[in-house]
Amino acid sequence: MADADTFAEFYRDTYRGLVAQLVVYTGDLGEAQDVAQEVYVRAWARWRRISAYDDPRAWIGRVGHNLVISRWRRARTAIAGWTRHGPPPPVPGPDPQTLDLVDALRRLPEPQRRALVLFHLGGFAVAEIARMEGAPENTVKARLARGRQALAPMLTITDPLDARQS
Amino acid sequence: MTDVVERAFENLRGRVMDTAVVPPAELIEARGRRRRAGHVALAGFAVLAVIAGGVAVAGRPGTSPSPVAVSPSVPPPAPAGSRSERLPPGILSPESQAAEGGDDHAYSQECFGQPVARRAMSQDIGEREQRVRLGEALYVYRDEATAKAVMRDLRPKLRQCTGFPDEKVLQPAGSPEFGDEAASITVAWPLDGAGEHAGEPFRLLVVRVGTAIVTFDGLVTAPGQDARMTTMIARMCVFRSACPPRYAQPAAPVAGGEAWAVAVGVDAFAGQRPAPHETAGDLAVDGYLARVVPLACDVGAAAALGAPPGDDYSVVYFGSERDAKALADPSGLKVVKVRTYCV
Repeated sequence: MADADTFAEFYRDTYRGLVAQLVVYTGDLGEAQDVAQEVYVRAWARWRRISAYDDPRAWIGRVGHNLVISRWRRARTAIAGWTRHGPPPPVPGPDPQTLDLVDALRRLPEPQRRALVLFHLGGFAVAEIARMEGAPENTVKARLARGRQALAPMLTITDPLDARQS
Repeated sequence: MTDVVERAFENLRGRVMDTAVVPPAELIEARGRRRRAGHVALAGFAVLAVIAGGVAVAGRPGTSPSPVAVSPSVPPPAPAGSRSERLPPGILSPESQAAEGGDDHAYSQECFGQPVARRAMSQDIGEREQRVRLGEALYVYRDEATAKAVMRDLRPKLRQCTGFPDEKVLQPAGSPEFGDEAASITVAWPLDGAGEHAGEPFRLLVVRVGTAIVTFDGLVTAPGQDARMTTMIARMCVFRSACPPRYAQPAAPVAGGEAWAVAVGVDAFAGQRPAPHETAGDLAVDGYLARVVPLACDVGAAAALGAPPGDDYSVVYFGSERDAKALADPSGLKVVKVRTYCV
């Protein structure tokens, strides 16, 4: 029971955060939720081991990222896709700012994109990201800085506040 | 400048927090348990279907008429509705052991064209990290020429149709001897999820029998695959032009006509979950393809079977009770006299 309780608590606390990360990779809230649910189903099966990790969030983030890539590969040619059953639930469309951010992030190199997503949406510290990525902390800091620099001009154009200031 | 970046991320995060609904943890755990057990928890799928947006009702009668006694002289009012082209639950092998299944799965038209009916399932083999997933999908085409054309077009893009077009080919495309014709390819399983089984051989086998094509996909190392293929290909007899019924010839339903219905199974969620039994598959070996029909379309069926008229049932029709019983009795199936509509 203790396992079940800690899993449910972890799931409730981290679900939306994982969905936010996955939205960046999928560009679609409904698909991000599909993938997130699959991640937690896998986590549930391994919960005894994963719950002993320093930060199980790193595991779900990594698995979520891999699943998105797998789904993307399979979506091009899918033999049979399974995660969604029945008509998809109604999901509000993304607002223009979300689309801008997702679009802008896609133009960044993958390491920069991952660092930004983990930092801003995953809530991980630089040291944690460095461990997850197997990179020195300074490298992660550099990726974050370069990523922000590259993103800013792409977002400024459509940001109404900045547009008024300029 | 970077304030813009911060705001953009905050906006995205806030939007997800506001709109993403967290499904109950019990739902996730139920899915996990089903995979562990390797079979279906029916109630869980019912919950899943409801949460995922409810049962598709398109094509079913809008209002279900109260079942009335069949009377040749005073026909009851004809129910509105339509009979869709659907494959009966349980026709796949071994669907009763599947983790997921149904006929609303995503598939690639580029690979499999435009079937008139389809059904797919996936089965989990093994425990925890060693678990592998086997997939099976059945596509039925309007005629044999169309099915042949799909196979012809599929062969050159078989690698792409594995879903892993960029992975290393371990065994090139070939034409093994299965069914009327077959094609297969084996590629390396990519890094997926937590990285289990990366690099292991993943095979896609496509077999055509008559007007139908079945695909088997999964890691070659999973046990029991030969048995499921042999069983499934035998069931595809029903898609051959020459597959005489073992007992009496079935009858086609006529609008407002009477028929003796062999009820193969009743299920409101059959399109979204695997069948708990494979009676439809057993009947297919004997040359009988059950139809999936809204109970409300066959007046008398819902009452006789004690099921809500809004459910679907799989059925084989006969012109006489004796003919129907010849098929039903050996399998312990129920025979119901119905008046057929929505034809």
